[in-house]
This record gives sequence, C-alpha cells and structure tokens, in this order.
Amino acid sequence: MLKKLLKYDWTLYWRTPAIINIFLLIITGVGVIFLISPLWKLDDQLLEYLKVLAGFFYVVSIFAGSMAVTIYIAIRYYKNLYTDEGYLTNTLPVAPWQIILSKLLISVAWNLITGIVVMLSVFALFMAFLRTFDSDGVQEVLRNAPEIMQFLLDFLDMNAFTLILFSVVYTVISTTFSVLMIFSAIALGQLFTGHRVAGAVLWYILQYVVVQIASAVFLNAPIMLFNVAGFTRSSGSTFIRALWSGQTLATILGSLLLFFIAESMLRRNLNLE
Amino acid sequence: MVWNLNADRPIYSQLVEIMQMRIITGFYKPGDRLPSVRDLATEASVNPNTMQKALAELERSSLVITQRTSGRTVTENMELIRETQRQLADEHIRHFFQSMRELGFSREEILALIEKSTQEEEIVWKL
Amino acid sequence: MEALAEIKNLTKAYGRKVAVNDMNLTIPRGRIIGLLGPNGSGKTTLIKMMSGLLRPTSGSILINGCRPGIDTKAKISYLPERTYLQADMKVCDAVAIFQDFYPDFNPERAKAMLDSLQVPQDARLKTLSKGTREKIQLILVMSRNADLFILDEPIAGVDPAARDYILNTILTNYNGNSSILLSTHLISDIENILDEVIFIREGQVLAQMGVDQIREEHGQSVDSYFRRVFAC
Repeated sequence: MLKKLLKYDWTLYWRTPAIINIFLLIITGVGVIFLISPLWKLDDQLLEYLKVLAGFFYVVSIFAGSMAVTIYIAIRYYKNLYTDEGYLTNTLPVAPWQIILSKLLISVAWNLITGIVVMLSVFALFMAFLRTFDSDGVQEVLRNAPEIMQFLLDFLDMNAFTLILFSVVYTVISTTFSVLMIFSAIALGQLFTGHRVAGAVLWYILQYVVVQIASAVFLNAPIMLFNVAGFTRSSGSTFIRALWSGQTLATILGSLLLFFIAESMLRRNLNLE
Repeated sequence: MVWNLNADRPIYSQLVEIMQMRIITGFYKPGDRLPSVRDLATEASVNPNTMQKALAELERSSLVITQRTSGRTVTENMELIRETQRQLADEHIRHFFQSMRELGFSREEILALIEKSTQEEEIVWKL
Repeated sequence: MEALAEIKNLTKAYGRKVAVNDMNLTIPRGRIIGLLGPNGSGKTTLIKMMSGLLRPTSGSILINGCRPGIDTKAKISYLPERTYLQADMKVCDAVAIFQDFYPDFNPERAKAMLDSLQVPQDARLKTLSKGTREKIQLILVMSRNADLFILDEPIAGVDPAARDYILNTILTNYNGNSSILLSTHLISDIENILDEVIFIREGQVLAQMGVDQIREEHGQSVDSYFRRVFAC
C-alpha cells in the first residue's frame, strides 16, 4: 500500500516543485552567461545599477524558490489530509502512518532536490564570478581544494568516504526533521477548531522556538564543559565527532517524536469539518 | 404500460397489480420469460427487494412460475389467467359501486345509468 | 446473520453543541435504507463517524464487528456531499486511485458507466461541469462491491434528469448482499427505492421502520408521514 501511496503522491504533486526547480536552473544559467560575458568589463554607471539589481534578484529568487517548495509541501499536506480531499485520503483503507510516511518521503525528496539545485546554482555562479574577475583565483581555489579537504579530514580523523556518507546522512535526517516540523504543526493545528490554519502556524512557531532553545543548550553545554586546558588534537576531533553524532541522534529522536505526533493526531483525533 | 405508483398505498401491492395487468393484457405472454428482478426494479425505479417480494406473491398465486433453468416464466395455464382477470374485474366493479353509492345513487339508478351509457357508447362506435 | 452495523450509545459533541446524542441503531444487511431528518439533525455527523472521518465523543460503532479503521474502510463505499477528487486530476487518474486502493473495485463496470456518460478518460476534472464531476464520483463509489454504501445527500440540489440518473445508477449497481444507507431530506423523490427509513431528530433516532409498513399502517406516503411526525 505504501508503494501505491508513493505513486499517487508523486504523480499528483511533482509538477509544481519541478517547475520551481527548472526556474532556478534557468536563472542560474542566465546568471552564468551574464557573468562570463564581456559586458561586465564595461565601465558604465547604468550597468553598475544593473549588476546590483541582478544580484539582488538572484538572491531573492533562490530564497523564494526554496521557500516556495517548502510552502507547497505544507499546503499539499494540509489540503490532502484536512480539507475536501481528506474525505478521500482518510477513507482509503490504509494506515495513517503509511499516508504520512508516503508524503514525508516525497517531501524530503523534493527538499533535497531543491537543496542540490540551489547548491549547484551558487557553486556555478561562484565559479563564473571567479573566472570573470580573477582568473588566477579559480586556479588557486581548484589547486588548494584537496589540501583544505585533507586538513578537514585530518582534523576530524575520518576518511573522505566516511565524511561524505556522514554528511549525506545528516542532511537527509535534518531535512526529514524540518518536514516533520511542518506536518506535526499542521496536525496539532487541528485542535484549534475554526482556526486550524492559524493554529498550525502558531504550533510551528512554538516548535521552532523550542528546537532553537534545545539545540542551543545541547550545543553550548558540552562546549562549556569541554576541558580546554587538556586540549589535544585528538581530543578535539573526538569532541567534534561526538557532538555531531549526538546532534544526529537527537535529530532522529526528535523526528520520531514529531512523526508520532502527526500519526496519532490523524489516527485518534481526526475531526474533518 | 408505465409504472405509475401511488404514494399512499404499499409499493409492493401496486407492483403485484401492475404485473397482473401485464400478464392479463398479454404484455407478457403465457410461457414468456420475465426480465430479472434487477431489470424490473430498475425499470420501475423501485427497490429490488420490493420487486422480489411482489414476484414472490405472484409465484404464490401460480401466475408466475420459477424454473431452475430458465428463471421466472408466465404461467401457461390460461384458466388461471382468466380467473385473475375476473378477480380484478370484480374488484373494479366493487370499487365502482362503492363510489356510486357514495355519490348517492341506488342500485337501480346505477344499473340504469350503466344501461344508458353503454347505449351511448354503441352509438359512438357505430358512427 | 449478525447485523451489518451496530451503533450503541453514540454521542458526538462539539463543545457544548451535541450533534449526535446517545444514539442506538442497527443496520441490517441487504437493505436500502433512508436516513431521514431535517438539516442539522445529525445525519452527516453520524455518517462521518461511520466512515472514520470523525471520532465519537463516546459510544461505539461496529461495522462487520469492527471499529472504524482500515478493515471497515475497505468494506464501506462512501460518497460525501462534497467533491473530494482534485480538480487537476484526469478521469483516468481518479479511476486508477480507486482501482489501486480498493480491491473490491470493478474497473469494467466503472468504464462502462463513464462511457455511457460520454466522459473521455483523459479529460481533466476541472474542465467538466460540477454535475458531471458529481456523477463521476458516484460512478466510482458505486463501482465497488462494498458491504455498505453510505451516500450523503446524493440528490440534493440536482435537476430531475440528474436525479433519475443518480437513482438509476444506485439501483443498477445494487446487489442484494450489500446495504445502502442514503441520507436525504427529499423523501418523496426516493421513497420508492427504499426498504426502510430511519428518522433522525436532534441527534437521536425517532423511528426505524419499513416503507410499506408505514404505507400499510398509516395509509400515507413516507413523505407525508415524515412531515406529520416532524411538524410536532
């Protein structure tokens, strides 16, 4: 049943996020062409303004694009479960956890795809920028990249494969967590009869604040307790790795909690208007 | 023959009457196979269970016969069909007399009126 | 054989407002049952609780001996009074959803009905009229071989031709083993297709009786009986 749900969620909801991502790629392409064109070498007052405007437009587009994907995910989740569409979704003979898991997987996938597109975009523009304004700089960066990488690996006492694997896993987990923040806030918003959307926003802000405070405490407490006097390179790497692992574990536990909230609200407290 | 159903009498007895009429008038001929309950119910826009009940009533009076192989068929017993026809005629006459009495006519007056209107009808026929 | 649905001491309250009040009800198998009552009498609330879209405040609902959940959803075919299919879906997408999720869905039956309605499979729902969309939804719901069909106000606000189409669709797809629970406040239009009626008022069952029983005992249609009962 999960497979069918995934198919259903994917085929119905791929269009909008795909369009947003294609839009981001087009903007990136235009930006790159613009940056490597000889236009930039001209000294003209009007062009100066245009540069600033173009840069501003780009930054806003990237932010708005990734925000739009997140907002789209939230709207889809809300509409598909808690409005007229919910009359179908919630009468399908499937378990609530499957419904939520399916939407979670699709949403995480779209967030990751958008994240990759944004990273590619920034990287491409960065490289184009270096090429136009500092051709030597590009060479410099490329030459030094392995060295910087090696320094990081040495510091963390990891090999490249482990670092990449760990980064990927961490990214997936924290993306999952951020999507579940939305899902659980929407679920809890249902408790506010008559103001369900406002309730969801309120819950989201509340959860956000709690998470910020918790992570601040979680990150700062160990740093305060860290034995600076006895600092060695190996104790430093152990400490950073422990902190990172701890944060990953906490995010996993937090995700499970949020999933449980969203699931039990759907299973036990569904009250469609 | 359309399925005109009154609102104030049980649906099932009205269905029985309409089916009887259809058999008497030869709409369904002796030995004919009847449509399925579902088709009859859809045609009449009534509940299939009610149509089923009506057909069961017709089976009880042997006007309709259920055969294992060919479903429901109309009886081939002509005497039985005529008997049903007479019963319905009696009923109509009884209703007629009752209505006429309610209008205030005596038995003799009613018969005289019938006599008169049959003569008029004959004249109309001859013309 | 046990009853299809067994409802005991069912209550649903929204704050202080009680929509369904300590209701007791038995729904037998193989019957077309009208759920009758004025607007706001609790018909939709009862139906939504049976379909699993609302949680009762107290009391119990058993369908085939199970509480509302995955098992009952597989056995209930529910037509709500609103359009739940997404507007940018194609007709064939909607059919595919039903085919995928309901093992008792009969795609040939749905296809035959959609063909006779002359709806192209690749038409997007938003390009079709509201009436056609409602008919498509009814076709999908009636193409299942469910144990219980729950139809919430299927003929409210439709013209006589559409009403005949809807009633005809319900009748042709009904098989004697299942039951249909049909809520309405327009009794005269549908009383010929009902076996029995359940009168609901202020969240409670006022009476449950056979249509011919009412006609025989009271010499009037269910519609006029209903008006008389609810007038007082």
